[in-house]
Amino acid sequence: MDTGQTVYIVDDEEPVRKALRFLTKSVGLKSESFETAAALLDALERLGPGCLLLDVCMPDMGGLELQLALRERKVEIPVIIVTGHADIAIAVQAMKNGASDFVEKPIDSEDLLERIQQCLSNEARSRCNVESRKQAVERLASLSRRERQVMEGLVAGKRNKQIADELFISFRTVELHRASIKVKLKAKSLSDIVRIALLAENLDQ
Amino acid sequence: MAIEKLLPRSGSAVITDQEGTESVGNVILLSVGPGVSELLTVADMEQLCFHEMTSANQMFYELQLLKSATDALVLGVQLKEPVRIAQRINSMGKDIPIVILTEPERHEHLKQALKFAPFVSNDVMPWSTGELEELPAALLETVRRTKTRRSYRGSVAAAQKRLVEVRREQPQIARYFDSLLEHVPIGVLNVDIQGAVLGLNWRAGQILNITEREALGTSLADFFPAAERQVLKDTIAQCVAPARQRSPEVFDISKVVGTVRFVELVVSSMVDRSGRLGATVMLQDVTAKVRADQDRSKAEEALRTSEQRYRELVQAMSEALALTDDQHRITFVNDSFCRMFGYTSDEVANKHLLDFVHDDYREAIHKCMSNPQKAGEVARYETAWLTKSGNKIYTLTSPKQIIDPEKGYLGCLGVFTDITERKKIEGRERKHMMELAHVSRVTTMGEMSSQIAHELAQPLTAIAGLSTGCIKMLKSNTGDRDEILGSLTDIREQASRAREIIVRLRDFVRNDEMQHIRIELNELVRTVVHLVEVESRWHSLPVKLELCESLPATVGDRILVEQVMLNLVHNAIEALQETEQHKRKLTIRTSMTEARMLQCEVVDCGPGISDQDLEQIFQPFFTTKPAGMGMGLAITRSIVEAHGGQLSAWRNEQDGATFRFSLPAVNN
Repeated sequence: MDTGQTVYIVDDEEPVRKALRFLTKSVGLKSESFETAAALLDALERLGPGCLLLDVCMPDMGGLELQLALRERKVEIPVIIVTGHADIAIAVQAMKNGASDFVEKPIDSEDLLERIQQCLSNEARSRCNVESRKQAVERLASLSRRERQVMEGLVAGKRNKQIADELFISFRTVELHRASIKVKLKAKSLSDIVRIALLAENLDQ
Repeated sequence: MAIEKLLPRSGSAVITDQEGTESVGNVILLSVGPGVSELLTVADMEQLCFHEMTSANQMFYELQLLKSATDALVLGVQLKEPVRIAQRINSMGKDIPIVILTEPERHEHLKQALKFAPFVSNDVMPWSTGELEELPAALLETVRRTKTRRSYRGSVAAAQKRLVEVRREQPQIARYFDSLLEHVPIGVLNVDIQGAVLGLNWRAGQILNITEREALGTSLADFFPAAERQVLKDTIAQCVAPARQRSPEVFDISKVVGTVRFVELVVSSMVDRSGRLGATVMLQDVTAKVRADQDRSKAEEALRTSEQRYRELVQAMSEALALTDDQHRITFVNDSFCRMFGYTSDEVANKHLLDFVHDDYREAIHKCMSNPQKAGEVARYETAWLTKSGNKIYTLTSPKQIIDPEKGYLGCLGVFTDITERKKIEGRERKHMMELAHVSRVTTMGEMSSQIAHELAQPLTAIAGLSTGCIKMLKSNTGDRDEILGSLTDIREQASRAREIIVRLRDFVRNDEMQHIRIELNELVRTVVHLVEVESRWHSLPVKLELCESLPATVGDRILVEQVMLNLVHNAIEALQETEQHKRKLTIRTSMTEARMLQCEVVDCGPGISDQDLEQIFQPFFTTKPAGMGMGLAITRSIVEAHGGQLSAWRNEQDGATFRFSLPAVNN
């Protein structure tokens, strides 16, 4: 399936770059990889349509900083943030920076391919449609007050211990709430939780 | 010829000589005429032998020749000059009694003449012819008297001669003995039976410190101390007792002579000229000998005392002591050894020392035994032993080789301190430390979990992407064989990378016994740097290595030393997060001191440690981190100390903190 679009991969690790390029190639996608954020910015002029796969943790300039740099340069290209750290704060920051999607390492390759396809077929926007938002609001509504508080803490980038202290509950209780939130929101990962929470937030606005 | 044999036997006129045959008196008759001759021959018995002569000249001739003595001479009436003949015979020195016969009327006249004859002896006797009947008896009497006189005279002469000889020899012998006695180094005193001194030689006076005049007549006992007097008297009194074996007695006369002096005294009995019993006392100055004896016995006593003291010391000491021969066989053990090992000294005698070493240590001890000890080297060995009851005991042993300059290696003296209790405590402490260290490692791993997860996520991401790609290509029949094969190879590589990470983590959090293996410090530094690479890279923190190459190794537990390193580096990275990004710098430096200690410094340029905190950072539960447990540095220090090293910290010139730990180097 040649849509004329290219997946641009920015990751400091050669094996990861190689794997991602091979994966995209296996489904007939063109890809190009960059070792550093700076290398991508240098090549910005000649880049065609497609999407960006950005690693968060890179020396000198990480994925999040690169997002901001692109926004500064008014480059409109869908961005999928890839991170090795299951850190809510990063997820929240990435989404707020306008990331289309957020995936965690180690990747679920089928899931990643799906998200890449969505990005490229411009379906990403559809995920922000009213229906999705409604669904998100409904799911959030199913949370208990405590669960809602814990979720808000998570989305604010707070750590479990911090949330526990603020809510005067135990660390273990926070963990239990998190597990419960995941089930009720039908979220596969932390980033799903963040995504749903942010959608509902947009609806609220 | 003995005098008494010449004397007549009682009531018998027979004269006998020594052979017992009848002795014949020889009587010469000169010109006596036939009447007188007949008378004498008839009247007399065969006891007298008469020789008749008619000429005076013949008689003189006969007298010269006659060997046997002439016992009497009878001159006849007819002779005209009988007195002259008598005088002549007297002048010849012949001691012969002479009877001159004379007429009765001329008898008195001749008697008077003879009295005044100057050269005639008393033995010339006039005899009247009127009394011829009496003549034989008178002659016999005369002969007997002559014979008696002669033989007596011979005996007296012999005795006189002997006396002269004795007088001539005696002074020489006496002088010889006297001078000998004066010069012998032995004091000789003659004392009477009461002990009064009769005489003494020069040496005796010298020994007793007295002069001859002081000594003579004084009791010998007076020269001896009062305490010794009775013994001395007894000794002298006993000397006269027969067949008594007398051993010399030693007397201390220091008090009397005023200087230290011992004399040895031997007494023997003697009899003086008047037949009185006395004693000869021999004195010998034995001061030097007694002194030497005293010194020797004093030295022997001192040695005995010293030996006794050492024996008691050896038996009383709480440490066990064993002495072995050159074949490491036990020759002596003290009581503590028996108590410690549970054997009696007989049970261990002649046994090889190795027989009692616990199996765990046998090889090591055997090696020590076969290696000669260097001079002056004090080795201390930790050893485990098996007691009689089968218990395992630990000792610290300092063996001392006994080397004789001539005979060489004689054996070994071992002192064993029981450290079983200490080992138990140490074991518990070590176990405690190991547990804490383990907890700390797990905690560290927890703190590093996001980094670890990230590190592991990389190969897994690669594997996931590559494998999905392969499947898709194979399913859609796109992609060539080589490409797929290449990806599969990459998958294998990434899987092994993930495996390495997991193995390292598993090792790191493993709770194991402390190990003792060779550790190359530089290699360990690189491993730890690799472990924190993600973290340091994430914080854009360059780690600078200043490693001294060709460092010797150390011995210890690899994981624990890694933990020390990791804790320090981890702390440094945390500290540096507060520093502006472009200033962040972490240096790890290795070196070796002259005391052969390996050193590793972790230098950061973070905010450093306040002086107040410096005192406390190694205390347990002290922490400056909001989420810290406060055990990290305390455990780190315990680990370093358990390896025989030291951990210290100070504020460096960049105002950051420098942590330094040392570990003993081992020989290659």
